[in-house]
Amino acid sequence: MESLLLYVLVYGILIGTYYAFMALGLNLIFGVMRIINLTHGDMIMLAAYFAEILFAQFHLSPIFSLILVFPLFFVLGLAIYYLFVPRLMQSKDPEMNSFILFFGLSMVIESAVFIVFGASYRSLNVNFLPVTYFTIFGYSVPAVIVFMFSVSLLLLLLTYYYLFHTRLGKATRALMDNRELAMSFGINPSKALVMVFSYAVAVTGVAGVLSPYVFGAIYPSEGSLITVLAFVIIIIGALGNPLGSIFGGLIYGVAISLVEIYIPELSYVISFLLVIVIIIFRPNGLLGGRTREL
Amino acid sequence: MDCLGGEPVNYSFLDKWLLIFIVVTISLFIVGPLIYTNQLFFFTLMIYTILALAFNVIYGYTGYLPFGYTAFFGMGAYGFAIGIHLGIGIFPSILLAVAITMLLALLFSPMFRLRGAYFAIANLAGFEAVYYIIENNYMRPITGGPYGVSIPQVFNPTLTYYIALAMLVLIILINGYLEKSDLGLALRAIGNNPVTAYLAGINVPLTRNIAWLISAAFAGVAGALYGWYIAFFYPESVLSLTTSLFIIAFTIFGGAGTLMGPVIGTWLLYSIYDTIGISYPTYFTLIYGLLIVIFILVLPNGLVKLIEKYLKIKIR
Repeated sequence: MESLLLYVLVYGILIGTYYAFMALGLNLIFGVMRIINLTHGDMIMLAAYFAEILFAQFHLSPIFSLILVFPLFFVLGLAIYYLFVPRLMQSKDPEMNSFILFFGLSMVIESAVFIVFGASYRSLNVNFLPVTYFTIFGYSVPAVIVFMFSVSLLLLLLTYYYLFHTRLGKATRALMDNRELAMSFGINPSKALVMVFSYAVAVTGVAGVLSPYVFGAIYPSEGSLITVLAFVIIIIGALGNPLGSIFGGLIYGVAISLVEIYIPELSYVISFLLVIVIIIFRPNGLLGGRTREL
Repeated sequence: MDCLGGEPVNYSFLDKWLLIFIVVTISLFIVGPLIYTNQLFFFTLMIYTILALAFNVIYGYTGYLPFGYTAFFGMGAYGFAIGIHLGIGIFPSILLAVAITMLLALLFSPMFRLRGAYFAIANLAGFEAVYYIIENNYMRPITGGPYGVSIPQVFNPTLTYYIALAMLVLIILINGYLEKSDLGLALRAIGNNPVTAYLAGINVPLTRNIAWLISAAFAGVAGALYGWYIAFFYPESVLSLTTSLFIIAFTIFGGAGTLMGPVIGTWLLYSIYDTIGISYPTYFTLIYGLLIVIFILVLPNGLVKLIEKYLKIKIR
């Protein structure tokens, strides 16, 4: 019994790191631009389709898709940015308008994928690694989960390096903190914003290639579900704080693994109840600061 | 906003526009089914109109976007069904539905501590929690769980239809009054800037919560009437995010924060949906998504404001 608990905790941390990584792009965009990217889950879904097609049509390993997807989604990010963001930023209430705009965009992506690929469930090949299983505390963990964990950790560290040790990253954090102040110190927001937006989309693409191993299947309407899940994770951590999403991902990963082992019927209820409790008692997330008064 | 300065505020809420509006509404829903004999279409149209008006009370005035608004609608339908199963009669059941909905609204009210988009997302999470609680197998004795509820003993579509029409007219009147009342002014002030509103002596949290409860009560009525009309439903049929999405799109298209905008938006867009959406749902979703994107970039103030600008008249 004790080793089961230990196993669940380790598994929760492995999968929680992926959850943190999966929500990172959403949190980066929100933190810097106050733009709610409701197409987040759809981008994950698109990347998953991309990997599935590369594998099914050209027999390319998902590892190859992981490398390809990054530049591809970076360009996608650039395109979305230049199409919508400058216009949005000029509107009266960019935050609310972005919410509605990206909601519409999400519907467009979802139905376009439905029209092109149909509604049937697809899955991605698991056996692309030299080993299939690792054994932890007497229970086996699929190697693909460990692989996912490693990729997630690597990109989380890369993001940390970008934000804290590069010039553009530091400018990004300054803009996140106080836009007007950062601009008055001579930081040109547009370059940092384009970079962080496209980077966030690219990272989301990488998370998308790995997503079938967590969510099981690839289908057109999974996007909105994943978006909600990503929000759950960053609300648990702290909205707009990239480090907060790591915390949120780990808590969510461990909590969901425990619930799924011990009370599987309630897993959805518990994850959303967790959010409501956190919203009521700590509206800015567990790592967030004070709340507003009015 | 122009209601706070410039032209004097007209305090008689029952002006010619509201009267024309009510006459048009009543004649549409009485004459309409005689010409196009699809009562369900007109009934659903009324329900969506009530929902859009209710949604407008909170979103149109204060700018808070409750993304999981369907939760109130679903709660209304389930509250009504629970009342019927308890055997308390139809009208007490509607009151019970409204009470349960308002209780849920009260439970959700701490979300107002969150700003704009945070609020919208928190509300969405709240909706998901409500959905999974109602849909859960453990709740089968009360809500029927995933198997839904049926209340065939009260099935009476014609009666429901005319009661819904009466409710719609009542809610239009209340909304018309609200728009011109002190409460409406206070809500707009909060929508413009909560801090200034506070400095002007408005009790911001209280005012907002009153609007929230009014809005939820209307949605609860809509839910109860819908549950009564169809008399058999699954969690998915009354607690679907599509309903939220429709209401948001209708309201923004017509013009949030105006009296007639949400109604006109609902009538136009839902009619289009009924004509093409049901037979080609996927293409319709695609077009709908594109429309939303275009609205928000080109027409953020809605149809009513556009008409007012080009015809140089002041509608409500």
